[in-house]
Amino acid sequence: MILAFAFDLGARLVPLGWLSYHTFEPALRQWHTSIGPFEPGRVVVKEHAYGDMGVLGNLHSFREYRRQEFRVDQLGYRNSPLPDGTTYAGIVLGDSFVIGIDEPDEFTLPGQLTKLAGAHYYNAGSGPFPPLDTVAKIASRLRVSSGVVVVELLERRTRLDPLPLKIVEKPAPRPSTSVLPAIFTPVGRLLALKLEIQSRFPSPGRILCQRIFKQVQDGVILPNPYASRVFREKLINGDELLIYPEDLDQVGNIDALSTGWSSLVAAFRDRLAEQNLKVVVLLVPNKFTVYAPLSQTTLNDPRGAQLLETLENKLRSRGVPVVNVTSAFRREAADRLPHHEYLYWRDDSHWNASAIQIAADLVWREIQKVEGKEVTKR
Amino acid sequence: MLFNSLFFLFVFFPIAYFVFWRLRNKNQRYIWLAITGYVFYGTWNYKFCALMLFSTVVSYFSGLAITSASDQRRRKFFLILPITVDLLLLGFFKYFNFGLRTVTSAAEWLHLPLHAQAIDIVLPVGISFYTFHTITYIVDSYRGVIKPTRNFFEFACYVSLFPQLVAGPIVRFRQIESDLENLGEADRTRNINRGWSFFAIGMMKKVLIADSIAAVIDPALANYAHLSTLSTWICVLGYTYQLYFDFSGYSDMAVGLGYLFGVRIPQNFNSPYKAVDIADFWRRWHISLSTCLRDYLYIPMGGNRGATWKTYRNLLVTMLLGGLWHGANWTFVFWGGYHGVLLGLNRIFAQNLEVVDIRLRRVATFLLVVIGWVFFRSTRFSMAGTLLKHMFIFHSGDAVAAMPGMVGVLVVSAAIAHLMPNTFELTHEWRPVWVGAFAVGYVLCLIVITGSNASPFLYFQF
Repeated sequence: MILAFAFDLGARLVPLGWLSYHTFEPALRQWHTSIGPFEPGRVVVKEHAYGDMGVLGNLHSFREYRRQEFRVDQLGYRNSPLPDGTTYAGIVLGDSFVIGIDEPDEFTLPGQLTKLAGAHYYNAGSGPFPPLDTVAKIASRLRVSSGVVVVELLERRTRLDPLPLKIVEKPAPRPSTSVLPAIFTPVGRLLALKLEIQSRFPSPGRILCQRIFKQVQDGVILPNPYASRVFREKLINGDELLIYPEDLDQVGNIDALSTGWSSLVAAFRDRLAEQNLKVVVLLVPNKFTVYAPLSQTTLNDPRGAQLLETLENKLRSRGVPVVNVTSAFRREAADRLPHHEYLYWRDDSHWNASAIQIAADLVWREIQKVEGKEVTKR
Repeated sequence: MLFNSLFFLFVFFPIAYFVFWRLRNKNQRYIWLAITGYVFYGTWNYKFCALMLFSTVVSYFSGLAITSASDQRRRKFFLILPITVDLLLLGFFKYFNFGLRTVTSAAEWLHLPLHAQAIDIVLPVGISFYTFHTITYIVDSYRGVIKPTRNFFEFACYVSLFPQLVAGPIVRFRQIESDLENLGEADRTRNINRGWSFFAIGMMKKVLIADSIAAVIDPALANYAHLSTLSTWICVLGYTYQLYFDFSGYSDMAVGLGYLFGVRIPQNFNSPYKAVDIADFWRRWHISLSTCLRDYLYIPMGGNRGATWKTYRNLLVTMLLGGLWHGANWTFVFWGGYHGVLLGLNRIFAQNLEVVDIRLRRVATFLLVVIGWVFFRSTRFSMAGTLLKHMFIFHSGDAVAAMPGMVGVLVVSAAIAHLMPNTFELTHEWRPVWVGAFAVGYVLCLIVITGSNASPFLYFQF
């Protein structure tokens, strides 16, 4: 037991990159050393990374191993280092779909926009609505003035009630002890710091044990209790895709959701306009929304496509430039199906380079319209 | 807090152990063990510590009162008072809603207009065990088998001793009296190897065998109506071994922990699946409970000293109540009654059975026990009926998941349970290669505990 304890303590010195299945987790910043979510200067390479859905469902047979390389710049965002003085045409905001979890730098959305535009687009993926102060800092450091901010919005996010969200001016201070009475503040700060450390330094020992144990929970030696955490969608060509079960749920009140989100986006657009930044919104469907028409199983339409279409219309009515790639993705998905080619990784919730290329094309055309330029195709 | 949890292994136990052996006299050690017992119990629900303390205080003072009482009436009063308090507590927390449900069902059946609302009662963990500890103490005090202790901390330590607190064995005061009396002079190194050996073996039985079986059969039995005959047998046999390895594993861990603190906790399982008949089974299974039922229920009722029909009556009543002790459900009572009938039949045909080949007797006894476990595991009679039907009438249906793994575990479990010596039969003096094997087994346990969710011991809610 003493050895086990010592092993756990010692293993905390092991780079997290040795234990993760993706590259972005080890790149997350431990302390508040940057404005971005990642540790500045960090480079993480994994030769055999694989997707989140396969991990969620503990389905080893679904894994699609790929090489991932993740570089973080000095601001704490995922960007390859560029010479000082490089000019940027725009900034791309969004979640892991913008960060480009499974793709090399040049195939991410900002990377592909850079190729199309012949000018750099900055990957500021960390969430679609970062604090305005953060956007301003990025724009200032990159000397982006009167540029374009592309805001990627995933269908999964738009299914949630946007009311609790607000446009934030500045990032929240950390560690937060606001829930504790002032008299306990010194102790509270220590406790909050301890909790933050615990959440940022997971026990490698525990991770290793879980991974070892999951090897025997394969449905042959021991049952796989994780299998129900993913839905295996069987397509008409016989292939299977792994889907979040929540993506099969019916969307709530489409009118209320689309109204709420369009108001939020419009407000964000207005605030960025004060910084002389123009916004283009990209609406990205969930994997299931794209592939539902190609599925063997007859499932109720969760109305994700309808939600995005309604949101698209409401954004346009508010004068927000918007690109909804659902139709384009569905067409491409149907065309590629006989060749067993997909727009999303089979073992991951994220899109792949093919889908990003389609989205980048459409976004670039919209950017050109916004900037009053002649629309050129790839 | 479970024995097979990281908090117990890496925080609670090291602190309890190291502080205990730094203390020098028995009173300090009583107090420390009582504190650790209450902390251990409090991690389940701190509010119920007061309940245990109340039961402890009542029994302690009653024990002293029995000794000092001048007449038989007063002695009897101080016998009945704490037993009544304990049984009322047990009855309320464990059986109130059961009684209400039974009365309501009976009223419905008789078309009587009776509607009773069940109340939300949380069953205190281990209440069946610690109330038995205090009851046996009082009865033994009354009978003069033991002299009640004047040292409150010694008694509190006995009741709240954490190794046996929440899931037994049911340890009588007389069984550890001398160890408690000599706790101040206990030698830490005397039984340290034996203690660790018991603990490691118990942990492996619980974590590697019982929990592996549970992972397969629990989801399968949740869908019992659709299981095929083969899968039903696999699940029922799986449960048979799961129950044994879970409970005996826990008991081994409790015994091991007892050794590590200088207390010798008695054996609770003696290879019950090697029993040659039902009476032999009950001499081997949950020994602490069966001997309590014998000494505090069967014998006071008259045992086998009266008319023959009274013997069978006493057997049946004892086993029915034994079944009820296990849980507030008629399936448990039926299981107890089933064994009561088997014990009665065993008495009648004992001489005839002796001529039967011993291996056949073992197989038959095992089969009878397995059938009994069907009722023990079932939440209602319809479930038991369906399982038995699928076992004995061919039924095609769903297979259990991870069949190859499950069959492998069953083979290993059967080999250990039926063929190998039990933990008390081992010398616990291991050669280095076995120590290495234990270390590997222990590491595997830690991997499983860390890598999966901890599952509770099956008996702790009794």
